[in-house]
Amino acid sequence: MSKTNNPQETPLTDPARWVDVYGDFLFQFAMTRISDKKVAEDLVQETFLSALKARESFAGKSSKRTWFITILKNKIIDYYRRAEHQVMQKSPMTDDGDEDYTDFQQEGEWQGFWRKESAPRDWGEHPETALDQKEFMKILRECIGTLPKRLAAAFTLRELDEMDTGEICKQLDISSSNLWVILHRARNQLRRCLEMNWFGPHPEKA
Amino acid sequence: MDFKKTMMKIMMRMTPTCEVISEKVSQSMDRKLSPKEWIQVKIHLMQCHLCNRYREQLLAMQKVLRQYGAMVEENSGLADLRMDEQAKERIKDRLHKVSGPRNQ
Repeated sequence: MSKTNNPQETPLTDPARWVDVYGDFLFQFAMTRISDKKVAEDLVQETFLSALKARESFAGKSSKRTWFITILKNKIIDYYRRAEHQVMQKSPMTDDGDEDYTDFQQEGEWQGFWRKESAPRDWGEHPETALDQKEFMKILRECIGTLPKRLAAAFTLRELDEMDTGEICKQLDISSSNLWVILHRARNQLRRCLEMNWFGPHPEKA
Repeated sequence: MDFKKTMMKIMMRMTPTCEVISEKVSQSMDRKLSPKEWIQVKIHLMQCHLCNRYREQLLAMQKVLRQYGAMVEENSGLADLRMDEQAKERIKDRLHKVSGPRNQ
């Protein structure tokens, strides 16, 4: 077997090398969606095992990296489906995190208006450039990690993978109105988390 | 202040509450709003700086998340996150059990 120095050319015949070359990358991809180290490791392992089985059919048309990512994406959706099933079996509402929390006044003259303490604060100019800062990436990852599984599933498919809403409904087997509610809740929770931990007026940053 | 309050009240009667509008603002990122909804949102946003801010923040978040998603897929920027060596060894062993002995 010819050894090569270019990691992109790792021969398909040596799966152990896959782990060295693509392991961290696939692990990171999984971790940005499912912030559970153990689960992420398992998904990477499953990805390699499936790749091994399908090795013959890999035509080499796409890069190996793309091939692995495609498999991993499917594994992640399978994982979400299994998790969703388990959650629904236990009790449909136990995994909802702080979804009961509301940003709005629940009674009185201003019912349905923003509560003072939860109204959106000033995020400063150009919040979208926050990614330039390393520390922000960590906060973002952690905030996504606090989302309940059933929110994280639809949300990461929609916002990180830019998947079409119809496709998400099909993949996760949910109705579109259900999906809209889930995405709205996920955005609210993420917005609050980012505001609390990064954008909001913070004594250390001020 | 009284004028502002009066305006807010008028707006409240004309359009749904912030709670409803914020939901529609989020949904507008996932589906096409009906003309009626669209007008309600527009009128509400003209008056309500908090819902306006909310909308801008959601849009900024979406931008950031898409960029973040692309960065991860392109394998850049997450160098701090690595798989444990132990986990790697475990996976290698597992692969070898399936594919035959290690050739190292």
